[in-house]
Amino acid sequence: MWKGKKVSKIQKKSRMSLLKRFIWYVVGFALFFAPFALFNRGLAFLLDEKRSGDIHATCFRMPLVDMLTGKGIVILSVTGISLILLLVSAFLLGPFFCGKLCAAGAFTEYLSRLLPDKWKVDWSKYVNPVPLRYGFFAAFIIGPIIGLSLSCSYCGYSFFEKFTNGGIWGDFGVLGSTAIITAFLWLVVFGLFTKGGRGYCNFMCPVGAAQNIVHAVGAKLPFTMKIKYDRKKCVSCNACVKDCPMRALTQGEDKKIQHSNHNCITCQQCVAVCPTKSITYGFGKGGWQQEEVKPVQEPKPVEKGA
Amino acid sequence: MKKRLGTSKWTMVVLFILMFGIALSGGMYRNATAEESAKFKVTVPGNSTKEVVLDINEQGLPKKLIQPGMITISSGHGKGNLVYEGKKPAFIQFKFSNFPGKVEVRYRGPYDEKTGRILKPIKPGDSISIDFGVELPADVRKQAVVFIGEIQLMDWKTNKLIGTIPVKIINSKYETNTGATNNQNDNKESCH
Ligand code: SF4
Ligand code: SF4
Ligand code: SF4
Repeated sequence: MWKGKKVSKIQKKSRMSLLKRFIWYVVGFALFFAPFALFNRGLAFLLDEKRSGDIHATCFRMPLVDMLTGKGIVILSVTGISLILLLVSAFLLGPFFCGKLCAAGAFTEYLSRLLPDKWKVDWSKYVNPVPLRYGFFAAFIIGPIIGLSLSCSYCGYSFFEKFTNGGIWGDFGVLGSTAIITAFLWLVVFGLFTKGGRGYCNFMCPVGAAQNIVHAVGAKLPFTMKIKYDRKKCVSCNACVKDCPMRALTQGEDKKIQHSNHNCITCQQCVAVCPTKSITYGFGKGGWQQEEVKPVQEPKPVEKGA
Repeated sequence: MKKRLGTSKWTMVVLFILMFGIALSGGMYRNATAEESAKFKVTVPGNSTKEVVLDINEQGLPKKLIQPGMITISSGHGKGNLVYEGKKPAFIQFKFSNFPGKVEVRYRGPYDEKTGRILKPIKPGDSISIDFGVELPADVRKQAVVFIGEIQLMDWKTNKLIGTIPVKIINSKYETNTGATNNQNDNKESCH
């Protein structure tokens, strides 16, 4: 009885948090994606640049490659300023763009919540997503040097924009094979049928990976914002682990919670659901244990007569 | 719950390399299917000397399965390869000669679909990024030469032709009337 009440309270908190986050993502959609793209258009207007009114104008993917492959970027340009804001915010606040503004990542998260958990795969149960996402990121950066550009192909933003600008009504425009594969992975395999709905974010998004590299460094410093943990307050209810869309939280053998700055998007869903305020978002030390603790072992059935 | 993969240093390295390889294979696949979209470069006033040639038999399997009847002819993203070098601002209008189906123009600016007109004048020296989504009805796709057509660029204020882009769409799965199979021209330009 008490347990049931507690669960529903947590669910209520979770829903409230989802609603609050939803408002942010709507703002993010209006800022970055066609037909509005207010950020892109506004910045282009201020800089007197001719830019398209869609996500391609602020495309973080291409300037990331240009910057990291030594091609360089023009700082006083729409892409230059966007990229700097992206990385500085990730350093000071955590992956702010992912956690608050990226409607593409949020879309699949919210979509997957429509399906019951038993239909979804929790990939993080079987594999740590961090080396996979950094492996993809490395290929994203090194690929163009050897003539294998991943910039525009497999782009979740681009497909999300196609989807919301006509795709819902069946008008996707012309799709290439890589766009079709992206759609299938982003929306279906790693979206709808993945626990948390953010499989694309975890495995295939270079923009998210770049922000997390920066965040992982920033989180070591006391003056930056981060997800923090107070072990003493934690009652090991596991509510945070269950609700984390990025699967960045795990429960260790000691029942305490483990967290990874390498794929946490600081969305604060865990902060909202924690009944004891053990998880918070703020300045100072993170309070997390450094090593990954062995996951909980399921108790072995005791043989009769043993 | 069993211990998950990728928690020790070695398995992390293995997973990193694995995903690195998968992603690079994705890049290779992307190159292999680059011909699904035909790219053009044209400077107007003037005509494109190079015919835009696209072989629909070169489409990747997902494209063949999901959307075989739509192709793109594109000036490329970013700055775009349709360059205007006239002396006065131009009011560009597109006309499609001998195309077998609908043509959907994707231009990221004010554009009137009904008339095919770009509504804002293009200044001398400006370049445009534009995509033409061309519909290929099922019956025309089943022939060696799907169609030969032309994209005409007009100035809608003066009604003068300021440029043309010749287009040839083929299907190498089928033989030409002469018995020879189609051979696609070199039109492999990447998006970026
Ligand atoms: S990881 Fe990529 S797709 Fe996911 S929220 Fe971040 S930027 Fe968006
Ligand atoms: S750990 Fe918390 S803040 Fe980070 S992604 Fe998970 S729910 Fe969001
Ligand atoms: S951190 Fe909070 S939500 Fe997570 S297990 Fe501990 S008490 Fe529960």
